[in-house]
Amino acid sequence: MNDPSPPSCPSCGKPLPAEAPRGLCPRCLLEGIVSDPAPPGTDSLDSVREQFRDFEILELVGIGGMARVYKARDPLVDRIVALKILSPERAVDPEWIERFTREARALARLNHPHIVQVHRFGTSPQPHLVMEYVDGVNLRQAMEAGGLSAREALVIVPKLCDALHYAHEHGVLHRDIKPENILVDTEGRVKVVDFGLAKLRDDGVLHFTLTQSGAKLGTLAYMAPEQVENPSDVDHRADIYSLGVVFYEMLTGELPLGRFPSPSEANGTDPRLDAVVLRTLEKKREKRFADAETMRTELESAASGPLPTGKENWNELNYEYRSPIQIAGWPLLHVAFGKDENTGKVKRARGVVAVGSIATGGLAMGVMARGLVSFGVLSLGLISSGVLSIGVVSLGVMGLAAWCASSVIAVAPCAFGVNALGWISAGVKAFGKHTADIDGPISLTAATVADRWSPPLMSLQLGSIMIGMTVFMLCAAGAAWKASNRRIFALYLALSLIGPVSILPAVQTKLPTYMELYRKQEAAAEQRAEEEQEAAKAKVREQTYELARRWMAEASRTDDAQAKEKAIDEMLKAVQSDDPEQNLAALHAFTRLGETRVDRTPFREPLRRLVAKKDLDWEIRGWAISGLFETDFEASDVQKILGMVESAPVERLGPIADALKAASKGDFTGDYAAPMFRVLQRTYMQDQKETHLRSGWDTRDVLVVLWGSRVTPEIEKLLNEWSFLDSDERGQIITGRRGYTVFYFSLSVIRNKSSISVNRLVELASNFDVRNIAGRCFWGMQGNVPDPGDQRFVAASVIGILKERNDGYLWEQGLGLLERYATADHLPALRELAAREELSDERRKSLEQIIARLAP
Amino acid sequence: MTPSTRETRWSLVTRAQGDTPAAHLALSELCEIYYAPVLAYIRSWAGPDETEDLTHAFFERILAGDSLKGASQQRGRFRSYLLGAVKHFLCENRAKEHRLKRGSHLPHLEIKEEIAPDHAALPPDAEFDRAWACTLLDRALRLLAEEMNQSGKDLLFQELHPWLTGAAGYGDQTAVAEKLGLGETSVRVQVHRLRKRFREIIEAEVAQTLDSGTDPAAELRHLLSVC
Repeated sequence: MNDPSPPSCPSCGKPLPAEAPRGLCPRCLLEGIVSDPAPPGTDSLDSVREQFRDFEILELVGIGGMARVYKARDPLVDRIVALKILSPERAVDPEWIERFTREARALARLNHPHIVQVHRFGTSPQPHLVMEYVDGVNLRQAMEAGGLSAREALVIVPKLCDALHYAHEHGVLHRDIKPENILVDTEGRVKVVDFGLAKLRDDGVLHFTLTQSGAKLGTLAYMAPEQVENPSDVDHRADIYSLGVVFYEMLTGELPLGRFPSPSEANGTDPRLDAVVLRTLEKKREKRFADAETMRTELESAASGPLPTGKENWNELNYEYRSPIQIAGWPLLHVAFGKDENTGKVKRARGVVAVGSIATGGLAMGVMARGLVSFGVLSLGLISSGVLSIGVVSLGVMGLAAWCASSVIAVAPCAFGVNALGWISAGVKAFGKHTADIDGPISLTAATVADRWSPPLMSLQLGSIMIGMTVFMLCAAGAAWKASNRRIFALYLALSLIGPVSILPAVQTKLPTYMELYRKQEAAAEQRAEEEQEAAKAKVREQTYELARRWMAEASRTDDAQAKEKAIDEMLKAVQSDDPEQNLAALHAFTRLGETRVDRTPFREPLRRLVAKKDLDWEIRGWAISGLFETDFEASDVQKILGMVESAPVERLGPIADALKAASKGDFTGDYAAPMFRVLQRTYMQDQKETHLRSGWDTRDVLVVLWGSRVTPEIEKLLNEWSFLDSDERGQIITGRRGYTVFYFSLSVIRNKSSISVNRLVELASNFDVRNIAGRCFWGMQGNVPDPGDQRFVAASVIGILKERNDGYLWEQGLGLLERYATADHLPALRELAAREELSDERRKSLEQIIARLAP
Repeated sequence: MTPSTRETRWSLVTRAQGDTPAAHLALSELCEIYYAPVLAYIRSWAGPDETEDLTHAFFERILAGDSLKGASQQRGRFRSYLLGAVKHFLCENRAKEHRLKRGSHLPHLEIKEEIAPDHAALPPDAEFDRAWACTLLDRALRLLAEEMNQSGKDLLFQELHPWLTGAAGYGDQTAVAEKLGLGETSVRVQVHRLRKRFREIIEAEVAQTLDSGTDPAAELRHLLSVC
């Protein structure tokens, strides 16, 4: 009694008694005997021996519905035969005799290795058949020792197909294919027997249906539906159906009744056989195989072909790996795919790292995954990533999180994604308390939080997809490899690339930050506000100008003195008003009165007050200065203006320069040289700084003051420098905007030109590329070059330039300069010029007149 | 010790009656066959130290020759008869012990059916019947093994006899087929034959213990019910 647990029977599970014979369970041994049908009695042997003296009857080997089969020796040919004798009770019934004869006739037609061979047929003393003896068992008996493996079935079924096809081709339908009628022997041979229900093609309509026994032909479970419903209308496809039932039973041990599962679903047999089995079992015979040979071909190609794709394959993978290293009782790595063979349930992977259809662990990857970090189609974890992920932090396609989610559809307190819903949310569409919506309004809070957390979460999301998808698919591919399923292996291997491939473009994409978007949004709002302000201002200004225009028109009237008086009165009041727009309107009108006969004296005092007014906008002050210097200004006014040369904003130096010109009467060589130089210098310096024109500022306001004025060499030098026109690498001068302005409005038009200006103008005129400037250069020097040396230089240069030019204006101005500045020294050159062949007569004549004047 | 299949237990019993050398041989054969169920039955009644003594005593009584008098085939199942004899022996033995303790001495009693043993004090019949069934099965297996051995198929028997219980599982054929150098289907055929032969032997053995009016199938069903 020291045994901790007595051994039990592996079959019935009961404890084995100590007396158990050879360790076998007595109960199971007896059960096998009790449940088996009693063997055929031996008592009838004597009577059979009596009747069939030609044979040596050895034993009764089978009893069928209509006959008994004996193993016998045929002494004539000395061979063991099967002697099938119609039962004595049937032998008196002509219908049964007919059936027995039928079998004999059917078999006599057939000679096939997988169909039992008939040797002889006799009717005396009783109808009997002498057949080939098969030293084996029927398929039913063979299946008693357990269901057949797919491999065994694949040996047997093609042979049956051959046999049936052969019979069908010879016009014989078996109509009673079932395991009892298929014999197998120790050599692995297969024989179809019992053609007792066979139908011959030339029978015409079968006229007996065994109605007297109340049974239909064939055994119900194996019969095709049409055979049950209309036994007279069957063809070879009914046999194919019956064979399908046998095939199904071989594989599963069950009959395909009702809504039956496919063989692979029933007990995990090779799924490649499913299609063939199911097609043979089609209710409509049109859908079955056209003939048994096709069935055989299909079966063989299916058996050697690849596994079908589909749901079943997942289970077919059936791979499991558990690492020997354990942490807290959990394996470090557990990979499990497929179904448990015992329970039929999907295997679960549980480990520190778990990979499988259903995975649970520290790091879980699977179709359904649960873990601290989980990745899967459906994942649940502290950090979860997947198609539908739920966790504290969720990443993936749809994420639901207790803290934050980054996914296509994200729902969490902090939600980031294409569609985000949360207290703080950011995305293409964001809904919540604080939102950062790419198209919509962006809150500062959401932008700050999103910029801080969204990029790392996005990286985590992409990383998890890349790593999770790749690792999971590689594991699945590994499982497929282990399961020898190359096609699935290739598929999963290819799928494992999806992760990296899909992530790469996303990694390279540089997304704008929400803060940038926020700033843009703010800047846009600011600009809008500015524009609105400007528009309002412009509207007001337009009214101001309108008023100015009206006053101008009224004040210059000669037909209505009263109206003129009224307008001037209004203007005077407006100048004294505190409303800047009124000031401006009046000043605009006043400064544009020009030659109009208006007494400007009453305006002087108000204008002086305006000019001196503290905190006055310089725009108005500028106009006021211009206005003041149109009145009879006094020395004290000039002093005030001189005081403003430094203090006035650079863009308001125009009126100052105007005032200086008025005070100096266009002579900037004396007392006004220095203030004017300062005005020009400030403008020049600002012009160097400014890359674009400030609105309302124009250097011409100042430069134009020099037109026709006399200047000091210091101012000339400044203008010379300012008028620099860019030159290219060959030294040729390129017309630049600023330089040209200075050249056009000042340099070329100052009244007294020293050698500084002369040299620059000659240089400009000589430059081939700027010849359009040359005419103005010549024009500008007419009578404005006081120094005789400069004059000679000008004359010589003009001759040189005219030698190569034919422009009309240039010649006109050039001839004028020569008339003024040419001397006798220039005669040889002048003569040479006059000798130019292409010269027009007019020009030659003018030249000759000059030469004549100069010649002694 | 191959018994003639034609001879029943009852004829063996009949032959064992008397004082001829043939009778002694038959008797010793009977004892050998049924030693195990008798021992099993007595074990569940007596203490471990007296079980074997009592079993020996029982068979000694039978070997002494006179206990089987009156036993005949008409009495039905040999199993029931033998059990009755054991029970009777045990009751008588107990009574004798009591008498010895009291110092009295009563004359020896014949085994007679009329003397009903004290059933309440005895172990259930099932004990005996189970041991009987095991004996039967063991004997049949030995006979089958011998047969197979004689036809040179002892390896086949060794590998396939677990199938007699149907205990072998799905797919096991493959391994066995490889070992035996046979096809899988061939193994199935052999298993079927082995089972068939085993059944024949069992049925023959059971029939030997029954009178002609008793259904062997009923006897087998009874034995199955006690196992």
